[in-house]
Amino acid sequence: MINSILSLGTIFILGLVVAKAVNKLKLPSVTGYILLGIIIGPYVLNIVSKEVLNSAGFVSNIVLSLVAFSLGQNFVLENFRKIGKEILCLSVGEVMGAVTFVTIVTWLLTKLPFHIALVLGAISTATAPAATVMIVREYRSRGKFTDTLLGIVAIDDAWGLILFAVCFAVAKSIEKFHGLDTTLLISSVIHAFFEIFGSMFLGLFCGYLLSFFSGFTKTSAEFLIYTLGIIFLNTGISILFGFSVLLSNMFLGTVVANIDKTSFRFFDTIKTIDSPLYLLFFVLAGASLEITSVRNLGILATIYVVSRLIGKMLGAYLTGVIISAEEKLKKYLGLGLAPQAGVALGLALIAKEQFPQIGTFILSTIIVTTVIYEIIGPILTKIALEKAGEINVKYES
Amino acid sequence: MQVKEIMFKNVIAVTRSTTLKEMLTKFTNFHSFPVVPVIDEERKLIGMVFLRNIIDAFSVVKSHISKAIAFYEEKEEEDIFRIELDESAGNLILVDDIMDTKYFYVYEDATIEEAYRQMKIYQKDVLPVVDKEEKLVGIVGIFDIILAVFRQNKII
Repeated sequence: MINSILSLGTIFILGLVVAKAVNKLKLPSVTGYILLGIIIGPYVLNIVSKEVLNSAGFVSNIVLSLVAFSLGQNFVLENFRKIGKEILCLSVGEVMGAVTFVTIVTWLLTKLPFHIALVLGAISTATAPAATVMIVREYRSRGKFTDTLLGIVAIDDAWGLILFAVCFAVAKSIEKFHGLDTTLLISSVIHAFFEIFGSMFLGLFCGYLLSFFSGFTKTSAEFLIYTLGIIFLNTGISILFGFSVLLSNMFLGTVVANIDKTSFRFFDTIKTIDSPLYLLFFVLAGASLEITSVRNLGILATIYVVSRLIGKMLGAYLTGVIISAEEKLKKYLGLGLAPQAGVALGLALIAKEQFPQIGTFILSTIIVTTVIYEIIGPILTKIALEKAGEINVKYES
Repeated sequence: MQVKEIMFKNVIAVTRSTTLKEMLTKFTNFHSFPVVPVIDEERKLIGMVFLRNIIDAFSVVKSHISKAIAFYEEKEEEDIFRIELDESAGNLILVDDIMDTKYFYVYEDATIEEAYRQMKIYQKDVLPVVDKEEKLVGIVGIFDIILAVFRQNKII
C-alpha cells in the first residue's frame, strides 16, 4: 500500500509530466491533472493513499479560499472603470443566462429536486479563464472582441462565486426546511440572509485585521505566514458558523483591496505558494470521480453541457441587445465562454461536502463535463475568435 | 538618518501620455532599464513603469486581467522574438497603457531602516520617494542605503 508522502511525490512529478504532454496537444494543464487523477485514483490504478484521497475536501476548501480571496481584488472602483461598462454588463448577463437556463432545464428534464438543480445552475456559471487565455495566446488573437472576452472570463468567476454562495445558501435552507411551503420559505430566506451577511461581516472584520497588523511582519516569510494565517482563520470561522467560505474570503480580498494602498502585496505573496496546491486540487478532484456512476451520467451530462452553452449564449446575446453591443460580441461571446474547469470543480466539491449522497452525483457530473468542456471548450473559443475576425490580425491601436 | 538625506533627486520621470518610443529614447544610453516613476501635472506620483511592463506590452493579456484570473497558468517564456507589432506601436502605446498603478513607495521623512525593511520584505531594489503631498521628490535604492552605512562607519 502506497504511503501518503509517496502519493504526494508521485502526484507532483507525474502532474508536471502530464501537464507538459497535454500542453503539446494545445490543451490546458488542468485537463491533464484531472485525467491523471482519474487514472491514478481508486477506480483505475489506485496508487493514491487513502489519507490523501480523503483530504480532497480539505485541499479544496483551502484552494477555494485562496481563489476567492484573489478574486476579491476585482471589486475596486478603479478596476471597474478600467474594465468598463460593457464587460461588466455582459458578464452579469451571461452568468444570469447560464444559471437560469441550466436550473430550469435540469429541473424540468430530470428527476433532480429543485434545490439541486439550483446548485448545478450556480456551478454552471463558472468559466475557465486560464483556458481562454491559453487560446488567445496560442492564436495571438487581438482586438475588441478578444479584450472583451478576456475581461468577461476574468470577472465572471467572481459573479459566479457570489451567485453560488447565494444559491447554495438558499438550497441548503430549502433542503433543511423541506420544501417550498410559504412560512418555511420565509425561514429559508432568513436563514440564507444570515449566512450571507455573516460571511460578509466576517470578511470585513478579517480584512481590517489583515491590513492593520501587517506592519508587524518584518520579513517576507513572516508576511506570507501572516497572510495565510488570516485567510485560514477567516475560512475556519466561516465553516464553524456555517457561513459561506467563498463569500467571506471574497469579501476579505475586496475589503483589503479597497482599504490598503499596497494591497497587491497580499495577493502577490499568495501566488508564491499556490501552484502545488492547485495541482493537488485538480488531481484529487479527478481521483474523486466514481467511474462506476459515469454510465448513468450520460443524460444529465449532456443536458448540462448543452443547456450551459445555450444559457451563456442567450444571456450574452440578450444583454448585448440591451446595451447595444457590436454584432460580433452579441453573436459569439457565449461560444467563447465555453471552457469550464477549476472554479466549477471547487464548487462541486463544496456541494458534495454539504449534500453527501446526491453531491457525489453532482461532483461526478461536473468532473465529466469539465473534461468534455476542456476538450471542446478551447475549440469553441477558437471558433468564436475566428468568427470575430480577430485571429491573425496585425496590431491596431 | 532619513531617506531624503540619501535619495537621488534627479529622477527621470514620465507622464501618462508619454509614448513608449519617447520613454525608451530617454534611456537608450542606460545600461539597464531603471524604474521610472509616472507623475501628473502637479508632480504627484501616479504610477510606475518597470522593465516587466515593457515586456508585458507585447503580451496579449493585460496584467490587470491576468492578476485576477483564478488558476492562471504562466507561460513558459514570453516570446518577444515573435512580436507582431508594427512600427506605429512605438507611438501608439502610451505609458498609461502599461504602467503599474499599484506600487511600493516611501515618504522622504521615513528612516533608512524603514526603507530598507520595505525593500527587503517585498524584494524591491529601488523605491520612489514622495513628500507629504504625495509628490515625487526622488528615488532611493538599497545601494544608497549601503553607501550611507559605509560612510557612517568611515569605510569610505
